[in-house]
Formats: sequence, structure tokens, C-alpha cells
Amino acid sequence: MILLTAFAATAQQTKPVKPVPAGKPAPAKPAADTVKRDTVKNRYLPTGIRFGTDVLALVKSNVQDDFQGWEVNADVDFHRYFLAVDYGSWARTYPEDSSNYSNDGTYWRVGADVNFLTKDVERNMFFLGLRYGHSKFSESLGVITADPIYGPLTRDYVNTDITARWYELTTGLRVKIWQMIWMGYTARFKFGLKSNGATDMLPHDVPGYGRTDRESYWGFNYQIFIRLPFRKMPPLPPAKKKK
Amino acid sequence: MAAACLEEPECFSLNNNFVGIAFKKLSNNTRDTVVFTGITADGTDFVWLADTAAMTGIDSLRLNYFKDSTVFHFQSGNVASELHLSYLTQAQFVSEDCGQRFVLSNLKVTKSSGFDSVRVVGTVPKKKGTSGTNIEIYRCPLTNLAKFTFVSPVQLKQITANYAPGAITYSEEERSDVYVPLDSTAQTSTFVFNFLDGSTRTLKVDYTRTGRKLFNACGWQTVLSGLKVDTVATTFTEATVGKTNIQDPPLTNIAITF
Repeated sequence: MILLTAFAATAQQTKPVKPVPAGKPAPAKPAADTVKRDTVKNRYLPTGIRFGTDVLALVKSNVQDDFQGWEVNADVDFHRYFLAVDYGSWARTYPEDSSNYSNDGTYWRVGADVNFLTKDVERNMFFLGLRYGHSKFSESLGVITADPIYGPLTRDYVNTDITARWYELTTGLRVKIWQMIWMGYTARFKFGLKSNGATDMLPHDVPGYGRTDRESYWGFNYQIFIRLPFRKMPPLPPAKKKK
Repeated sequence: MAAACLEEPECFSLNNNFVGIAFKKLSNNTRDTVVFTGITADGTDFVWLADTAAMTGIDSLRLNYFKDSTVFHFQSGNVASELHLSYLTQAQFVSEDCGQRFVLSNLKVTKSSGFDSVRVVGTVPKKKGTSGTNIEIYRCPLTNLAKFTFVSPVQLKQITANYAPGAITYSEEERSDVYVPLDSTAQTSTFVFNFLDGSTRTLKVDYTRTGRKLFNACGWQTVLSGLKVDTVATTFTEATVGKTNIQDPPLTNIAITF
């Protein structure tokens, strides 16, 4: 009993209560949370959807004899992030004496953009983004040729329902022109092309991507958009006061 | 416009429809010299080789890119060999200026005859004018070819073997080394050497025969070893045994003093 009592007394001595020095006030309770709270409610809820089309594709279709195509675009905002979707059609025809090539197909891209103009009152955009592209197309090639040893060849090659996929790094601008009208451009660095389904003929031109003999490819869209708002845009965060 | 022109590929040598062939020895994986008297292919009257030529390889045999296979025929005297090649041929439009190209891949040897061993080392045929080997054709080691070396050069007229009709004839120039096949079906071979000065000498060689599988591709071969000179039947001043077994390429088996 004496031993137990002595042990208990020693144990209590290992957690001494720090005495408050005389003349000093006792420490106050921890200060209230000093981090500013985000007061913008629902900032990640979309405020509108933007529909657009690629003007360059329409111009090319009217100017170039060997190209017919169009592309529509849409994006939805989630604060400074945008979900972007593109859909298009693309057909090329090269009539030649010795080889007659044509292709026709559709493509889509889906991805996200990040807006770096977060303080712009009009919510104009300078963005960087990523896309995943997918195309489904058919192509045909008529060959009339001759080999000096094995003689002549006349044959029609056809690829149907070829699929291809690729990736894109994107950058560009979106600028509000007037009320719901927006304009902008998108530069695309396309890479990582893979195609499936080709048998006797290798693809030459993938709708949405371009020529297959290049490991990477630059694309450019000049676009006009109409923005349909869902709700009022949340206010911009207050500008920092200069010290 | 300038950028567009720069991007346009050159229109020549678009097809990769050539194969390179190397002839090699299985024994040491080095180049082998083969003699062909003709090389042709099915589906064409074109003749790649119409005359006798010694070669260690063929730089560019043209494949028929209108089909998925080509059969080549090699003629070496009375011996005919064949090489059946298959591959995947795909056409591809290149540009309005260049037209199309043919891309060949997945090269395989589907059948061969007359060659000891064939293997594909490059499944993608090459473009015209480029170096590279697609197919290696191996020869099994010769297990009965002996090398005799004269200590002083001699002017040989011919050598006659006791086991074979006819004789190996030589030009009049002086030589030190001669290569003669030993009789693989017996344990002894006798050679009569006729020299240009009219003299004649005899060399009798005894050896042991063993069946061995040196390479799977070659199957069982008769290997000769334990070479000895029969000094009673041999009439050269001196004949000393060097390498007692037959090697490919041959090393001096017997050094002869005339």
C-alpha cells in the first residue's frame, strides 16, 4: 500500500501544472479563425454555355476545291475551368491521273481549358487546355501505276469505318464582342495519333487531325460564339489593396 | 506557300520494297562467300544475276509490292535454291505530286529450299539505296574439308583422290595452301599430287569418324578428327600434322615439305 501510494505520487509529479507568474494575466483563448472565408457562393456552378463554329473551316470549304468541312464548338464554365466539346465533319478529294484519293468522316474532341484572365470584368479568356480527339472516317484510293520489274497495277483501295484518336494541347483567346456574341481563336498542338482498322491501305488524312505522316501537327481555329447565360455571374473577388 | 513546299515529301524512293540478304557461316557467324550463276523471281522475266558471281550478300532484291509474297530462285551450277517471302503490303496516298507509296512490313520466310538455315533479322523491308540486312542465310560447317600447307610454295598441276572420280586441277601459279575434301564415308583418304615439273607425290591420311549434331539446323554430321599421316604410303619428304581435327574455316591440318 505504501509502495502504491508512493508510485501514484511520483506519477502525478511527471505532469506538473505550469504556474502562472505573479502579475501576468492568464493566456487568452485562441483567437477566432482569421482566414478569410470564400464568400462567393456556388462559384463552380456553370453560369452559361457557349456555342460556336469554326469560321476558317467554312471559308476553306468555299475557297478550296479539295476540302469540305465544318466544325461546331461548345464550352461550359466551372469558375475558371471550362469543359470544351468540339464536333466536326471533314472531307478531302484529290483527283489525279495516277491516284485518286478521297476521304470523308466526322470527329469529336473533348477536354478542358483553364482561364488565366481571372480578374477580367468581361470574363474574357486566355486559356490553356487539353483535348482528346477521336475520328471515324472512310477513305478510298485509286491506283494506276507500273513497276519496272513487276509490271502494271490498277487497283482501288478502300478503307471503311477507320477510327483514330489523338491528343491536343490547346491555347487561345475568347473575347466578348457584343452582348452574347464572342469571338476567339484556338491553336492546337496535336500529337499521339493512333489509327485502327486499316488493312490494305494506310490512312493519309484523318478528319480533325490532318496528315498521318507527321508525328505532330498544328491546327488553328478562328471561332464565333453565342453565349447563353444560365444565371448571373458571381462577382469577381475584390482587388488587393496596394500597401 | 514556302512552308507548304518544304513540308512536301520527296517523291522518289517512297516504297520500301527491297530486302538485303547476308550469307553467313553457322560455325563462326562470319560472312560466307557463295557463288551463284543466276537469280530470278516468280512473276517477272527480270534476271538479277545472269552470270557467275561470288558474293557475301545481296544488297537489294526487289519485292513484288503488288502482291503479299515473292518467290526468289537461286541457281548455283546444278544446285537450285528457293526463298519464299511473305509480307504485308499497304498502299498510302502521299500527296498530289507524289501519288501513292507502298509500305511493306512483317517480312517472313514462309519456305526455303537448298539453304541450310534461314532467319529474318529485319521484318521491315528497306527503301532503294539504303543499307541493311533483312535475311541471313547460313551454311552448315563443312566437316571434311582439310587444309594442306606446303612449307615452300609449289606449282601444282592437279590432285587426284582415291575415293572420287576426276581431279582438282590448278592454274600454273605458285601456291602454298590447298583445300581438299576427305572421304567422309571411310577412315582414310589417299591423294596423288601431280606437279607442273612432272613429279608425282602421294599423301595418305588416316582419321576417325564421329557422328555429331553441331547445330540443330544441320542435323547429324560426320565429324573427322584424329588426323594422322600414313608415313609408309606417303612419299613427300615430310608431312607433319598440325590441327588433328577438321574445322570450318579450315586451319592447316598437314604441313608438307616437298
